Amino acid sequence: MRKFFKNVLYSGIQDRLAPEDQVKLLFINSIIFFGLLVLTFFGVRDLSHGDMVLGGVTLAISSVVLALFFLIRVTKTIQIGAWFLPFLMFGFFTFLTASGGANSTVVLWILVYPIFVVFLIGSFWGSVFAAVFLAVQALLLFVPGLSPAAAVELEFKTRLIGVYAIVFTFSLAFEIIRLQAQKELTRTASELAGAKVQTDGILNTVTEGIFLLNPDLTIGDQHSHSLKAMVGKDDLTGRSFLEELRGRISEKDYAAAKDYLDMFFLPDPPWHLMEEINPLSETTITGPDGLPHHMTFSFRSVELSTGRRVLGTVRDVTESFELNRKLKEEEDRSARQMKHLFQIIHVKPELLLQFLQDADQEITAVNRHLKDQKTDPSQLIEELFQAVHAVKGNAALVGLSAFAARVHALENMVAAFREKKPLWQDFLEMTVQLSLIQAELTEIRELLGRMSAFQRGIEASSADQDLLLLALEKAIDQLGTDTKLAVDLDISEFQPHLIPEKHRKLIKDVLVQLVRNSYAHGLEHPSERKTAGKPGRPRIRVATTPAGPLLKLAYWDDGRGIAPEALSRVFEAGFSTAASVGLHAGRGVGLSLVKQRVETAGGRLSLRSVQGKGVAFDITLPLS
Amino acid sequence: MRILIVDDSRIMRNIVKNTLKSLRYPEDVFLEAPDGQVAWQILEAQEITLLLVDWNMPTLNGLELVKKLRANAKHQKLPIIMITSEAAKYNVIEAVKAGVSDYLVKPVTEKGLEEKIRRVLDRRPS
Amino acid sequence: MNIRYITPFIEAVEGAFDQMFQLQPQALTPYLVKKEEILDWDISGIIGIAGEARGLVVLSFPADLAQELTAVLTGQAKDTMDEDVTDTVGELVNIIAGNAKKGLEEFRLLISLPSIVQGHHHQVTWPSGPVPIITIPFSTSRGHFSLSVGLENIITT
Repeated sequence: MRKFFKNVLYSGIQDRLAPEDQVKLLFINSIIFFGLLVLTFFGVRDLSHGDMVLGGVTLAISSVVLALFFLIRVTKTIQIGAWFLPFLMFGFFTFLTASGGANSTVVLWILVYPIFVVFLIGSFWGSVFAAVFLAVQALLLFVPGLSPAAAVELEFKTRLIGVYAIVFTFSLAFEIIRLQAQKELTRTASELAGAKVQTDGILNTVTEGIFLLNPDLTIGDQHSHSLKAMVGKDDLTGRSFLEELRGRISEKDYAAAKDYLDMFFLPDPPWHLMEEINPLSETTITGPDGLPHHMTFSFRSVELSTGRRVLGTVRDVTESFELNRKLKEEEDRSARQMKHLFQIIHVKPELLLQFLQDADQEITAVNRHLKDQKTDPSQLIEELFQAVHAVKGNAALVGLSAFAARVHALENMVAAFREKKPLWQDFLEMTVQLSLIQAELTEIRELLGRMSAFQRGIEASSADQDLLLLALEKAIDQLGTDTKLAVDLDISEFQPHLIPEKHRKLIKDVLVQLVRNSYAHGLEHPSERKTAGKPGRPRIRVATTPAGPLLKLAYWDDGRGIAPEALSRVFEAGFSTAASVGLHAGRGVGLSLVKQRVETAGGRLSLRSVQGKGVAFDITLPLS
Repeated sequence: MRILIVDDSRIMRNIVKNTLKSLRYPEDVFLEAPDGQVAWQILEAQEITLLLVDWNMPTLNGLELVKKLRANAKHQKLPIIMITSEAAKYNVIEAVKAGVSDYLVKPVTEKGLEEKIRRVLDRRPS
Repeated sequence: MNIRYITPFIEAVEGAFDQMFQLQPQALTPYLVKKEEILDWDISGIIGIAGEARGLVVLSFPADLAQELTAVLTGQAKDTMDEDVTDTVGELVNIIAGNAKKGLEEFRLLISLPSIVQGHHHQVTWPSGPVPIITIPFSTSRGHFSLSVGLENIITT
């Protein structure tokens, strides 16, 4: 029903019109309907009084007005109505005035003209029409003989004009003011709409949950979209913030949060502390997906025109928290292992292994008793005490004092239950503590295992990748760099693995000494070699030859060799062919010492040399 | 100036005193009490500038003392710093709710105590 | 591993058995378990724990108890480990996990959705490293089951 009336009054076109024009249309249609009513009434009445002319015209006008109604509906614009009516009324009222007669009050109709016309066609044209209309009416009223209206009483006529003027003035004023107010309203509305678009844009995009809390800690209607996602609910306005949290955080946190948020609304909150004591600054919440999320909340107070509110911001930092937690885990684990390592280092390895084995046995034994549900409690306590006491004692003996202290704590616990009868919970506590000790023993064992694996690795590598060779190559490298003389090393027939373990160090030292000597005395620079007709780079060759129960090792270089007169004195202590004492030669200690050591090991060292061609050292060592 | 230090542990009181001394507070400004009851009596009898109080004490604990003080018009504005090992957030909030001016978690550092004292005394209405 | 982490589970077990089956399980002496040990049960519900401590809580049942409990709920006797049995055990473990959750919240411990493992001599994958594991055996008028807890304290501060 309402819809029908609305349709009729707005001519079905309210959606196409600006608010201003909607009002205008309403006005037009009201005039039309009211006018129809009045015109029909008066027309019929005049006809029944026998006044055919007046009645006929009136009724004619009413049909025009009716037609206008439909015309507006059909053309879907109000301009027709807005302009047609002033003209129509102009004509009709003038007709009324002119035909009115001396005592006619029908002339009073002119008073409504300025109101209608100013509103229908605006202040400017309305004024124009109203003014022209007034002029015409004035003519009709005051010019004698022009119309029967001129016969109207003078006082009446003047008053009429006066009232018209007032009505006109006020209509104009009213219209102008109304228009201004309308403009202002439209402008404000569009500004607000623009601002809202921006705010909505922000609230819909931020990843943080942002919201305002009222003094009763309910959530305000402006909040960010992300908040909805974080809580898992679409409709948060007016909901109690704390109730939303309640199921998802611990009771303690809930109580603290309530106290904290209430503090914001006290008359004198301790502002300097508020930031520090936020209980929700970092908290784990069960999200709508059922998984734990790590969230940070921060709260600030804001003073709005409507009063104080609390601005809340919440961010989901689960990822970074997880990362930090993993890092902390790693740190803690490393710290624990370091602690254990430190303890272990002070302990003799064989002792430690023994201890671990014994401790394992003790714990397994007492565990058997625990598993066997038939054991009488006081006996169980006794077994526990014995086992723990033993482990503690052994740990202390072996030197694991920190660990022993922890076991001691358990021992005290068990001892106390020798007097008092233990309840089931007490057994649980003791078992838990025992499990922690067993875990620590496992950790120590694993650490030890890794250390021995490391050790084995070292030994394996020293067997495979020959240290001897490494040392030799390193020495040549170093000397080559120091003397700026590169050398070709031939080890194609060198088999270091043939050298027995006990001689390795000796051989290494010997070879290194011989190389030093070569560099210091024998090897020549390329220019000198060219003159001597030797290949550009000096050569060193090392070879092994097994010879039954002996091992022969040969060292050979193609340097300057040794002069015959020096040859016999080479192994004398203090003898040196070097011109001066340097880093690598000159003290005359090396070769004599080498010979001595080889002989002490049960071997022989001999030397051959051709001056200008090179030297060859032969070393023989017993294999067994 | 008078600073009242309240803690049931003599060692703890000494630590606080020493920290204050290293912040150049002279010996004669210190007063001590081993529990809340004695502290209350001192506070009623003398003009105290600053109260440093522990939470867990016999007879009358720190929290109760603070509540009692704030309920009394005479001690409304007294600067109170709670020095305690209770670190959990909900404990802190409880203390703030009771009316402490600031809160410091043990162990006490020079810097920490200095900062809190400054904050609390600077804010005192003149 | 801390006794305070275990107690909520024990209470949850007692509550669930009472409400669902009108049984009052008796907790027997707890004992230690090594990681590699193979459990002697037919079906287990495994609940993961994360947070301040990390590890597993495992509820293990023999076939006949599992079947009997299923019979109580479905009204039909069971003689095989069929879907109903798996569902019953699953449901039971879910309820226990849910009830235990409340008691663990204040320790910043979180529980995962339980999973069910079946088959005689099945093995449970405990977390890596030296984890203390204890087992609490329970006895009821209809059979035995066990609650095993393997928890490693992560953040010691």
